[in-house]
Amino acid sequence: MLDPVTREGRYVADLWTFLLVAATGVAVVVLGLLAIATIRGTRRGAEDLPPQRHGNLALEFTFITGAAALSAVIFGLGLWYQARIDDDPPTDLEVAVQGYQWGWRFEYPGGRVVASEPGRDPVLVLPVDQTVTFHLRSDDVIHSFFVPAFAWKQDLIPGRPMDLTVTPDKEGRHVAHCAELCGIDHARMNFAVDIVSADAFDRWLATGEGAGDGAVPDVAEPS
Amino acid sequence: MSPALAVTDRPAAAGDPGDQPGAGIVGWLTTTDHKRIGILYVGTSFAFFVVGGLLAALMRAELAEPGLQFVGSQRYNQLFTIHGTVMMFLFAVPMATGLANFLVPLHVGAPDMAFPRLNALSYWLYVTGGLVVLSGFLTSRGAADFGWTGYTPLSDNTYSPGAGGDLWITGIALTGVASTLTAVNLLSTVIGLRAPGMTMFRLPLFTWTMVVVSFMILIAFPVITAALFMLLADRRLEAHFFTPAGGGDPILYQHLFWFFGHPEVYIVALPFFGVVTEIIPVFSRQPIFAYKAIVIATVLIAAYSLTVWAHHMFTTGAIADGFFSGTTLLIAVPTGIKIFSWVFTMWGGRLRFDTPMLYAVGFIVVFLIGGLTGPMLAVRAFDSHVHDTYFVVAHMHYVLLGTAVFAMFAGLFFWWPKFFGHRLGEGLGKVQFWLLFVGSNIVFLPQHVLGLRGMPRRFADYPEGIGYDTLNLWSSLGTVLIALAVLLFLVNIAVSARRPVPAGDDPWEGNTLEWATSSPPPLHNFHSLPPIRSARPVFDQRWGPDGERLRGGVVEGDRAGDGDRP
Repeated sequence: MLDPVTREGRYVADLWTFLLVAATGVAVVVLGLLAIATIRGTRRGAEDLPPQRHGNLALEFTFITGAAALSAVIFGLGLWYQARIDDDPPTDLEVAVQGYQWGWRFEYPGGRVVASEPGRDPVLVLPVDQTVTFHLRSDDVIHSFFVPAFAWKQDLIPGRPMDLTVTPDKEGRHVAHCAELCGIDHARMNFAVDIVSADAFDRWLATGEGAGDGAVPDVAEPS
Repeated sequence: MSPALAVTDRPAAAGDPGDQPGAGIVGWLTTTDHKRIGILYVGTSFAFFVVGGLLAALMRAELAEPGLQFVGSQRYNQLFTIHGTVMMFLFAVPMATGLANFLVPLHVGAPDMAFPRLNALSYWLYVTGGLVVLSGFLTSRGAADFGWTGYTPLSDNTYSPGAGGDLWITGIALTGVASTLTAVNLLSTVIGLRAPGMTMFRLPLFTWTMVVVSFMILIAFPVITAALFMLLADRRLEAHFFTPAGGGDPILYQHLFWFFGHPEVYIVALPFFGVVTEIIPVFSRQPIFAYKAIVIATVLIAAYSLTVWAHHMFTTGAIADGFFSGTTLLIAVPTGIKIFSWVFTMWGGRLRFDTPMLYAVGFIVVFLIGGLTGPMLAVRAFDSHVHDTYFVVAHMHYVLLGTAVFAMFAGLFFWWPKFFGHRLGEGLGKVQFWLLFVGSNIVFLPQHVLGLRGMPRRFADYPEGIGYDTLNLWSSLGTVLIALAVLLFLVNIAVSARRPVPAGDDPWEGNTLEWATSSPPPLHNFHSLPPIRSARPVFDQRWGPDGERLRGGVVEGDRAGDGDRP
């Protein structure tokens, strides 16, 4: 169901698949027991009093153990995937990202700057198969840098600069958002991510052409 | 006061002048009777539920299609802020407080709460606080619009200068004081006013949850009150607790908020777990499966809930992920115990599907779905994708709808005869259940997918053509069914009050002491009490212990696991 386009995001997608299967399994067991109990209990009729059962220690221990074991597996897998995600290759490109009410500013090495303009979302151009570190900061309120295609987000907290490292591994264009409520135009703080070949990226960085144009338009009217 | 004194020291007979409640509206406004205060709480919080629901309906109308059609962005932000605030602080907690007010003294065999006038004060503080929050809509800049979480710096006076924010802080602080006073009152009642024979392990499980919740309130609410006053000081006195420009830290606010905010979820949920735990045994004609395990699970949920708060803050990158992930996943265990106990109480029972039971089983299904996405969000790597998206919105609404709405309706249908002496209509009740059940799933199931696709929460608008359109439309259409269900409940109240059919003292063949008195109970609750020799004194009176009067003492099951055997 998730189809991320970064090295890190693919781990998140695998993790989600596991979590979905595990949750579905638990749901089938519990709803199955509930359905059987309902059907049998209704067929018996309510007139008489059934034999009274106050509990069953063996059964209680079984489901306590089961729930604890599943929780432990989820915990362990979560840590394992997190370690894979955090194990980034060396950075090839650094981009300074600033969020503000209500827009984004991306600054590349060599001084190229892309920023929100009225009626036009900015485009974050990235080279495919290269590791990018974003230096994230905000000077007003909290924002959150969220590219759904990366399956990841990182908050921008005033006074606490943060880094985020990803390795996009598939070309394409994606919509991205601010994910932390930041005021009136929070829902308009969108941007686009354009992942292009390394050659196209170098050309764009030098000339500003060949990528990042025809940006995803700001679809909503201004407030 | 010794428990024995509490039982005997009360007016003896009906018709005693001291046994008449005050008449008319003045009687209700000046009452210190726990049953009337309970009903006032239930009625007031239900009114707030309708208000919060209308705010949500406006939001869903706005989101039905891309573009801004009905409300502007700022008004939209006010809608979800006040929706969240109303539902958490003015509906869910006070609804549980209302049920507890009515039930806890009856459950322990007491004539009233330990401090009846303090109880009335709590109610009026709550009403005042609620009105103060809502009055923000009357100010020039409108109500608070920074989310019910009130994150700084957005909520400070630089970015949210309106008076609505100050009214929001003041109103919540007032309801917090009300909750704290009620917690003291309930604990005093359970500790000091139990009837002879009512040991702690014979307490009805609803009352057990209120004991545990009261402790949680005493721990959590002072923290939010302090955080809110620090925020107020930031806003009006330039205190800079949370503003980085003045050396403060926005992360500190998040820690304080969620140290309250996560226990708050269980402060809402546990009483409604208790409601269902009372109802399922009655309609299954079984004792609750594993009484003591449920008590221990309730205590563990409360204890763990105080250790998990920063799982709301994974995406800040400022916390110890592993610790908070682990403690959060631990909570799944005691919660699982409860779900299995409900299912195994039904297992081997003889079931009657009157409306309360229908809602109780509906609660299990809805809560299960919300409960299953909880452990997912506890995993930092997955949370980093869905945090602050509609996936979280879906998760919390399944949890809160299951508890505060489905279990609430189960409780209202169950105890309505005890409140007013007549039942609510069964036919209307069942139609209402199916409208609500289908409607809730149409609204909230698609929101999981919206979140996975990346739609952030608190979005007044969303870009067209990137996979958000159709699911949002479904989600909005389902709202109509929920609205119809709530409307039908109000109709049911009116119809059943117009042609009341006397329900009798014990219409469901209940287990606990509230069914041993008249419907509604006299002012001092009991003229006489049945002997209390198990957690089911009224059951014992009817059938004999474990039904031996009927079945010649046939008992199945594991005696070692029994908490409530005489």
